Amino acid sequence: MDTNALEEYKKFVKKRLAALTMVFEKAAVGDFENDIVLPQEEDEFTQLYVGMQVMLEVIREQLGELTDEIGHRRTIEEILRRREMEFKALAENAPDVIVRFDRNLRHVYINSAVERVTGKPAKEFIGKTNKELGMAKDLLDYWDSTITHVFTSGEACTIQYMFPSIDGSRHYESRIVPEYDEKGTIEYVLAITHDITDLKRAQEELQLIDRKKTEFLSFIAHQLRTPLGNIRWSIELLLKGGKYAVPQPVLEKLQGIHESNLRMIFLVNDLLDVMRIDEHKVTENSEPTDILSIIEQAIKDLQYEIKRKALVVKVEAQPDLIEPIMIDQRQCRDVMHHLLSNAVQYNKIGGSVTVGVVKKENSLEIVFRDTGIGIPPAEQHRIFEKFFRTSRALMNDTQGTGLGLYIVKSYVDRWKGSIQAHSVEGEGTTITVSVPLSVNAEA
Amino acid sequence: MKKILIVEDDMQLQQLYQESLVAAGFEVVMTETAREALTHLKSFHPNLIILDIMLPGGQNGFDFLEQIKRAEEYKSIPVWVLTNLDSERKTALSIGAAEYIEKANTPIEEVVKKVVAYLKPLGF
Repeated sequence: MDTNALEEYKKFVKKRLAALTMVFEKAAVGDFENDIVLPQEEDEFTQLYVGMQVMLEVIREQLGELTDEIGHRRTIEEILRRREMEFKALAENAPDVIVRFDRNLRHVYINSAVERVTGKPAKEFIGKTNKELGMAKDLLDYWDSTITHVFTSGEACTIQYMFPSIDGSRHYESRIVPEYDEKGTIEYVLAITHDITDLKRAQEELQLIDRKKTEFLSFIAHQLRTPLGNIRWSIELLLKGGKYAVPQPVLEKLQGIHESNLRMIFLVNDLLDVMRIDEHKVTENSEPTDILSIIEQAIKDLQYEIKRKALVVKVEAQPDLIEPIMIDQRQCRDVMHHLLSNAVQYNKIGGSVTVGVVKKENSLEIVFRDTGIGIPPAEQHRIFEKFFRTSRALMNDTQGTGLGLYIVKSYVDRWKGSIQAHSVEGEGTTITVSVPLSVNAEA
Repeated sequence: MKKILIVEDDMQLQQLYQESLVAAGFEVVMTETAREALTHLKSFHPNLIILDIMLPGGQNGFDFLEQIKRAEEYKSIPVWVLTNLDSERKTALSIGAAEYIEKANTPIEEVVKKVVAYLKPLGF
């Protein structure tokens, strides 16, 4: 070959390759932004140039994607870092003690609130179990069994206990919840502990105040019974006449006093009954009870109103068939009193009250039938509600506490008996009470 | 004549007992405290004791009742608790009271009738 031609070719190749050199030099330092300038004439280097350019563009694209991804990851890491800082700020500033336990019952995280409670810095707890930290046996068992339960059942638990803090023994409540990972397994549990000493003290104080209030009301009610009882007996002696014989007008006044006095005695009974029922402090004393004599006494207690309204009161029963039933006498007396009182109070002038007592196989059925104002059908389901008085009752009578049937229902329920009301407005009401023959005394 | 020992510190009530029971034909001795009642028991042998629960002097009616139910010479005397407390029935009967009557909830006539009915058959 001609030496000149070879030299010309070498120059030509060198010139062509030189176009790539700059790009390679830049690429060597990571700068892939430069394009290869393609010569206008196509020759054997064109393919090389095109190939190199394509490669450059691919590299550029990949680099771009990588940079994006790295940038994206950095953003996420930044967000996570920020969140963790926020959480730590929250957890560290929370007044509650926040602890994370692992499956070996070790503290893996605990916030600084624990220092305020125990006097020990948080780091002293990390990696240790409550046992290793010297928790008292009973409390330790309680905690460990609860944490274990949360791990195995996945159920959140709340426990209350006393703990010796540096301020003395205080009440705490801990809520222990499972921490699920993406696979759904529980690797850790989180315990958030709250000081409830003040709350407990407030609760106890409230209960004490409530008890004292009831004791006070009870005391007053009982104190009222003494003068009321004395008045009753004094008036009753005066009403016997004889050496106390008085002119009719005086007698009538005495009877009025007697009636009002009896009403006060019944109100005190109601007050004490309702307080006992509401406080769940009803005591039972089942004894053989002659229900007919209780009904007779109830009628006597209401004699003034019965006479005033000229009511005909009948007791329909066959005494020899009615044996004594085992029941609390005071409760029985109060029930009979209220049912009879309603039959009398809401009755019309010249009306009637019939009390029927029938012995059934396992129970005694007592029926109070009156010819009174009746109960509006829409209100019948409410008559046993505390303080409820029917619209008719309210129209007719300002007296009445709305407590009678509430007390009656409470006692009938305790006896495991039943009570039913049938009524026709304007015509009358029939109340049927069924009492088991032997009412079991509750312990 | 049948004899009744009453342990009751309310003066008005004392008069009411006195009047109604004497009129019914009984001999009545009134005491205000458990100690007084115990003193009287030595010389006055009642056929019935009517006992209040709330008493002054350091011993209440139940203390008195327990004491006499433990005493050989007094334990057979029937004791009726007459009170305005309505929650002590079980206690009273378990200590040995023969009756428990709520004063304010019982007409005086009924109390007298019960006393008469109780003591008459005992044939004193």
